[in-house]
Amino acid sequence: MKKETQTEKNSFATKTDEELVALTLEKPEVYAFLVERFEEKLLRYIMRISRSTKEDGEDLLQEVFLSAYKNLNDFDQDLKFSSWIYRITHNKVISHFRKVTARPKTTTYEGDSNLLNILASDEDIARNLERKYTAQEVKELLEKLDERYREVLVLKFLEEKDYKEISDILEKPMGTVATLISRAKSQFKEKMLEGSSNRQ
Amino acid sequence: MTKISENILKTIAETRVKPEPKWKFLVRNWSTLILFGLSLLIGALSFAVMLDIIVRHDWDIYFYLHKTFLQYTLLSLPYVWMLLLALFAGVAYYDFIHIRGWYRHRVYLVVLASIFLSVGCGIVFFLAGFGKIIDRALTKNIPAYGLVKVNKEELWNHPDDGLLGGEIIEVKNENEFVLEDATGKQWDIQDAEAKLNSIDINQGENIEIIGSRESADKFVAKKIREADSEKEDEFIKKREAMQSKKVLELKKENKDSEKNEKSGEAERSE
Repeated sequence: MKKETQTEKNSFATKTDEELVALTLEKPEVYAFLVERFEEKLLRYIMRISRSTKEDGEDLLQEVFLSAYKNLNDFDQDLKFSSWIYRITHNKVISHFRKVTARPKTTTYEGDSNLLNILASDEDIARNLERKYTAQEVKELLEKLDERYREVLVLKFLEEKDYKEISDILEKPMGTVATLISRAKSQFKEKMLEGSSNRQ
Repeated sequence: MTKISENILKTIAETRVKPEPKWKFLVRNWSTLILFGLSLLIGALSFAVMLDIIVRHDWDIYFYLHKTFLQYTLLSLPYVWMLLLALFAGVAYYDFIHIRGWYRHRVYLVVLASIFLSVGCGIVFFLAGFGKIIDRALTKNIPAYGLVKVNKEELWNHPDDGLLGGEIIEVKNENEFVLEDATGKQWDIQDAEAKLNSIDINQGENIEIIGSRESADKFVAKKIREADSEKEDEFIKKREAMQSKKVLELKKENKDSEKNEKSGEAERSE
């Protein structure tokens, strides 16, 4: 019996997200596999774009998974499941902060400081990179950005989503996503240069 | 199983939450799509009525009403239809952002395409006469509509300024007839220079006259034109029917004479 369950588990592990969605509609228990696949990524995403504590983030994440479960039949097969559930998460975070009338703030993770390395494509930025920026400083810089710019930067460089995925998550055309990313990069660099000249 | 997934499965089991049925989403998606189409259609019809009102408006009489062309234009614009068009453009935009997958298109492209469609269909509807039909139907059946549109009867009820409209109730002779205006007052009309107009003066016809008031109930006409009314429509229809009947008769006559000629020739050759 235990062996059977283990084999079943292994077979679910090899299924694609989209296949798991179809299976969940027949057997609700299968949903646990989808939750396990995404819980860490989504919690990290929530924390990156919201001011919540880990506990609040987990509550929000529960809401996300429940909402996704209720709307499984609305899952658009043209999308990746990951884009769809990121979209739900993004909308939940936005509506949550609308309710509490606060602007979401960022929480950073180890490795977020790499964002600077990724964005440092010109000499000015490179010069500024001579000193090492901490994750906390990156967080402060991100907080200074307009909300729409911050969310695309997080999706593109921290969540490593491509343009098509960002377009599906934010429900914006790909051209608009490209424009937003380019403007977000400029604003990020601007804020970084401002910060370094203030320090000098 | 992780703590979160365990909690979620527990909540699902306890609250007996189930995925919403597929048909609900299908209905929602189709309703937004249909509403979008309807908004475009109503927008196009509004545009057709707007166009019809603008085209049929008496733009040449502002001078008689002592107004500048700009003042007269501002008074004459079909604001109700302009508002309706804007309202349904808004509804179409709201629908657009809620139609599944349409976020992939550039907003300005969809807005431009919608405007192009509404205007294009609006012109077609206008040419097909839908604008006129809708305007007439609303005027006839909804009294409030008459209050918000330019009142043509009122516009042509300025005898002191040289504008008079109404129905011909009696034709006295070639140069004189009696007209009843919108208020029920009867006028003796002298058709001085207006004879030059190629309009038939018949009892029961609605006309608009540009001229001058001679006395309390006498008006000298300089220009007479058919009023844009339902009666005029009927009159035009009758005239068109008569003309097409005449054309048919003429064609028949021509055919008959051709036949006669051919049979005559055949007889002669025998």
